[in-house]
Amino acid sequence: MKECKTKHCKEVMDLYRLLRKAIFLTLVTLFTIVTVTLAWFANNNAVSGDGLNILGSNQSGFELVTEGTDMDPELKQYLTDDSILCWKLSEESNLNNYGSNSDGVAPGSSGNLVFYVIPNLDGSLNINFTLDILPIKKDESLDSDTMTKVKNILRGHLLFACKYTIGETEKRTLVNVKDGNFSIELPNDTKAGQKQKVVLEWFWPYTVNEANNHEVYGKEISVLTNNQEYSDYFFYNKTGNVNISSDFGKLNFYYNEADQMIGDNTKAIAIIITADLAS
Amino acid sequence: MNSKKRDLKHNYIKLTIIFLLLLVISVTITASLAWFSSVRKIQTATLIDVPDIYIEGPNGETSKLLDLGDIDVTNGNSREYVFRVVAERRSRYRIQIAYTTNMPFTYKIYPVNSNETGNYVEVGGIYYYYNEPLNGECLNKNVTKLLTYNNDDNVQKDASPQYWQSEPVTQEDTYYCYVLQISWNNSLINNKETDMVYLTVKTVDR
Repeated sequence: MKECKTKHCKEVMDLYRLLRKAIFLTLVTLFTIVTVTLAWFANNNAVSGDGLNILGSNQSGFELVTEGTDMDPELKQYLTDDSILCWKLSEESNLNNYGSNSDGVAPGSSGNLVFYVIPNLDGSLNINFTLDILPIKKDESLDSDTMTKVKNILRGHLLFACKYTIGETEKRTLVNVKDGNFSIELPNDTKAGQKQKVVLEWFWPYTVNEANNHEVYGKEISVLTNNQEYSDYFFYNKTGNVNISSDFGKLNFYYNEADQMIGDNTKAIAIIITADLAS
Repeated sequence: MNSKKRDLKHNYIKLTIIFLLLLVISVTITASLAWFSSVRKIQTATLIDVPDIYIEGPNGETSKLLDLGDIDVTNGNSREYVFRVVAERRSRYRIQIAYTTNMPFTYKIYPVNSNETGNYVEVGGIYYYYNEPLNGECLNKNVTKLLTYNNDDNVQKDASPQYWQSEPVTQEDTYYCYVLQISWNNSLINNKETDMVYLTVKTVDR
């Protein structure tokens, strides 16, 4: 830094040095504050009590609330992100993941996962959800290619549908098999703090036939199981590709092989719902 | 000397003010970033309940289709097939047969025993000895309406299957062989008929 000749220059230099110190101090303090309060920022399990689990409040958007029992603590090892709120579930979930009954899910089973949306403001609210089903490896030496295959099969075999009631109308839609997306729309007359129940119905059909003949979603599912683009989600052929126009017996065989893929390579699954305001 | 001290003091005051201002501004910005996030997540986990019991051919061949082939009723009184059940040690299960009755066959399941006495069947050079059949009963003896077909009214009597279930069996080892015997009486003649037989094994809760 060159020497200052004029007084004005000196004053500017002084101010400059002052500013440098100030900024440095600010950064250090800011870093300290953020580090200390990081728990508050990242921790979504802010408040709990009386069997409810509520996230910290917010001036916009909505909160997700779950009611019921905590899952078997042994299963916590299958959750990769500790900061995500744990879903409290009741017996109707049929996930068999709490208490002494934690033996899990199998083909042929079904259940209902319930959560509640609480808007923070009055008025209409559109929320986009993404459902992720993460397989947890049985054997650490599995390659990522196999895991992708299993992930796809889980999406096609462990089917989910979103059900919620607005006034007298019940809305039910199948969760998108490819990306796990689904959404809900709350109308204009929704009040802040009004608990909206959302039910995620899930079912794991024994056979393709059972899937295609589902009472409510059969038609929609048939379209998918007959679409070559979706063959990776429902079928698996050890020796090659699956041709969707094969005879029914063969397709059912491939469906079973796909189930076997899940069983052979998966020990447990983590189910994660991510919700965000629709833009 | 005094003016220098005063300058220093002024400098420190300026420093503090600027610092505090910057601090307030930056904390506000950071804090409000958290406020503006509207993403919410919930998660749970559960096990995948894998079936731990299988039926295989006597040497571990996968047997999705047990090859019964053609049966020539003029050739003897029975045909035997060997299969084995693979299960966790000390599993408890029942063996079930569902069969259609176009042909008047009798189906029996015999556990293979290790003492080499009694009847036997030879498969691939290995002799499987058996004595007493498993006890069991037909579950639909007294049932008038079966759920096998959606509409039972138009189903021919013999196409409606019989469901036979054995008593619960406890298996000590991982593998255990059984003989499925299909038998008929002498008065039968060859007839172009087809039957379907399903062999299943189902664990029983203790």
